[in-house]
Amino acid sequence: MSLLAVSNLSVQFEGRAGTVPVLDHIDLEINTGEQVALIGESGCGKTVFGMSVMRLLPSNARVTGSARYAGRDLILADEREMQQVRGKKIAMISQNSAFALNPVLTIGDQIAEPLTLHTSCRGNDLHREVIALLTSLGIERPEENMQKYPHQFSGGMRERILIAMALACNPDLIIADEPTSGLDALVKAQILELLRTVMQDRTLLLITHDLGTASALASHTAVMYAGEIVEYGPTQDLFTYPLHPYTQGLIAASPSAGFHPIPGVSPAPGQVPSGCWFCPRCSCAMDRCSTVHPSLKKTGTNRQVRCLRYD
Amino acid sequence: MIDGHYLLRRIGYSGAAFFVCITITFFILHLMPGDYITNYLLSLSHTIPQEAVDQFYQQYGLDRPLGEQYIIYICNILQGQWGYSYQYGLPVFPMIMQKLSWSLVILLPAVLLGIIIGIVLGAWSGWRSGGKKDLALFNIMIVFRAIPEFWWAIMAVWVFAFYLQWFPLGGFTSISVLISGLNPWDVLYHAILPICLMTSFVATGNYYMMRNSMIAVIGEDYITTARAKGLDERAVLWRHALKNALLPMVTMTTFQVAGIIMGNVFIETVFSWPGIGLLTTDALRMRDLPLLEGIFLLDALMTIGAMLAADILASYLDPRIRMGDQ
Amino acid sequence: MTRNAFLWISVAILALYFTVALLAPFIAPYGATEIVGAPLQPPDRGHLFGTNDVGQDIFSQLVYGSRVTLIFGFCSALLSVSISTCAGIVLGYYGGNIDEVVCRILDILMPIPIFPLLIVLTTFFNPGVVQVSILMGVLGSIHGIRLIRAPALSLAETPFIEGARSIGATDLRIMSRHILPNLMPVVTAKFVSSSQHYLVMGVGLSFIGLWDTMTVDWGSMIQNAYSSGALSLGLWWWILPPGIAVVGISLALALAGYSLEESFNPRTEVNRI
Repeated sequence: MSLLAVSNLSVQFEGRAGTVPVLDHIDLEINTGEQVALIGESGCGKTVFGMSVMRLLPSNARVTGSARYAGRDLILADEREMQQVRGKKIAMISQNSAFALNPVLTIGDQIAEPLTLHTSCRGNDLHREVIALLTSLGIERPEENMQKYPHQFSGGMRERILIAMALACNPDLIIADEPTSGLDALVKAQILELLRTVMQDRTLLLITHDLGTASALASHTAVMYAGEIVEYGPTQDLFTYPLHPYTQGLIAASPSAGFHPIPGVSPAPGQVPSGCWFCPRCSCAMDRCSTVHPSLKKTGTNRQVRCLRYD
Repeated sequence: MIDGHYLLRRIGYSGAAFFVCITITFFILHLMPGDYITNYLLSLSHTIPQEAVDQFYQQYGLDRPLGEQYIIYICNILQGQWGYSYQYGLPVFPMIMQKLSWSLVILLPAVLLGIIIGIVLGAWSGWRSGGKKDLALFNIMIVFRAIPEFWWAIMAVWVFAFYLQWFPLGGFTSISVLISGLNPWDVLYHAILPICLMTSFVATGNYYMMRNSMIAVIGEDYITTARAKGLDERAVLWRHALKNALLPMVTMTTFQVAGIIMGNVFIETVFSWPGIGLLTTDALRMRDLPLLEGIFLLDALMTIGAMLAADILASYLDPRIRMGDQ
Repeated sequence: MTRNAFLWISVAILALYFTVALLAPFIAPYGATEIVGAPLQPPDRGHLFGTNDVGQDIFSQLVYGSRVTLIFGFCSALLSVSISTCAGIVLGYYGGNIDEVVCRILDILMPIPIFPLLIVLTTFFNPGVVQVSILMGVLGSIHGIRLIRAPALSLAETPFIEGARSIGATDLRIMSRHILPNLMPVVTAKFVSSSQHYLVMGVGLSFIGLWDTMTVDWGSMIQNAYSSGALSLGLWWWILPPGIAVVGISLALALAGYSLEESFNPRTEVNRI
């Protein structure tokens, strides 16, 4: 059963220089208990996708399409309704733990905040709840640490705090935006392991540029290029038999496969070529590719790909 | 706990700054053509009694080497011996202190009100930045600030005191004071217009800094985190944005002290208010160097002291500085 | 109206002021201190803005006075911004011990109030307009050094500067050809805001009597009229022209400064709600 069904979602930013499209007709379904990874190069619009579902984009963003969650469309929901969804039903783990925590509030205060907001938990119960959360995420001496300020923690610890904050109200869906960015390899491995255990029975939308993170955490993976989804499928299949040339390129470019970069650069938002957007960088482009824009087609039992070669 | 090293370093810098000021005034006095004492005594009378000359030579050690004179000078300054005014023949320090109390009648309420009004307007404007109301207020502030302080003061006198006759044209008290004695209400009546003007100068300065600070805070990731928790806009503003935006204001507010001193000179000159500002103008017109040096030292003490106080306050308020690891 | 339009309007106003200052002898019908008529004449055909208490032509004084005011404002701004830029770039580029020491010294000098210091120094040296503006520029530069140093420091660490160094460009060349052009937006904005600041300050200093009474400029004109009771006597033509002239150029510079700052530093003018 689908928990969140995004269909036809487009986002444009209005700026001085006119309107810039960032996301183009995104369809993505997340079923309860699934962990879906959204991968792509930085700047392809994957963070914007998470923010648009949470309705946290700046006021110059124009969002169209729908994101159906629990019988309502989040895109059309009013601010008051969204405040009941955010943190309680859908929680977010922001990227960049160094800036995502308020520097002047103790971390205990910040973790307690969603609980006071969305539950009737108060006083001693609240205190116990925060300590339980901190303990469950492997933060030692919780009594002492909850009195501390964010700058007194290391990057890995801050990441744990952010995860604790997101899990506080036991939300239906967690959106994790680059949860391991800026961490060194050892800490990153620890955080990944931690995320794997806590996310096992939860629904997760993982936004990352790192294939390793995606294959470690996600049951399904969607690949995004220049603001549209080019391939979707179960993570295992997708990484073993990538269909889209871009996915193949991404995998070949990963460190484990020996760093073979994809030639060229992704188009800037609003400056996509005609035809297939990946065509100028594609090694197996055909004549048709520069004129016909492919659509996302089902192939096989549970794979989708946006490439003319599979038509 | 405030970090001791940080505190000591700030106090050290402040002390050094004041010594630089004392050194400047010392050298100016000593570079003057003809020595200070002769100039001073000549300004009082044409014949100089030898005893007076001897007394001054002793007090300032003018027969000693320059280095020793410098030390004597510093000791004198620290003990409140700030020299003698050419124009009035009086010791500078008590004179300045007496005028300072008059200036504070205007400055204290104006600075307090100005900071509060500026911060409230700036926070509101920054929170709504980009909106029509914000831009309207912002443009009004640009225009207000571009017009020089003394011109605002002159125009205020013209409109409110001359045409509308709501307030007196200037001074600090009415003539009736000669009969009835100094009346606080009368003084307040004379002070209202200068206080209002000074308040608006301080408020515009704070408005800009607070607006910028707020805009910077709004773009921070932790504001998004707060919204992602489901907090409503008011809670995001009050719990998360405001304190972060206010922290830099503690330090930034003191950057204005120099500007406030300058504005005060213009306001007091236009309104003939008998404070430090008017004294500055008088001393400047009379080229009363010792008095001007005294005023400079006082101004320096005020700005240096304000910055030190702000640093200490900021380190107390901001957990990042408080813990001593920046 | 857009910020760009504001910028062009203010440039036009500034051009007008500069033309008047440059062509003063051709525009002013009389000399600045020349006594040309009966005292306190209201404006008429012979005297566009009337005459003052000794019968000098106010329009001519205004035109000549623009020279003093503009020289003071722009000379001190030019000097102060040049010093801050050079010092800031050198500090940011070399870094290390020099940077450390100079920054400590700046920390000490920062809180010293410039305005009363300038008054003390001018009283002591008793200099002319240009000398005071030089003094002002030197004293004022202290506050700008850090503003330039910070971006210079981060520029000096960018790969393209590394690249320039690796192909053997000299330090001087890197600083003048690579770092300076990248800092021009900050420098220009600082120059415009400084000139407004110093220009207004110069008029103010003259208003409280920094220069001798023979120097004709807007500040002394206002002071002269105000202290002679022009307001209470209803002699508006005596006091308004110099005041409006100052307000005009100050507004033009302020608008130019803000438009420049916004175009160089396009803070996204958006917020939720």
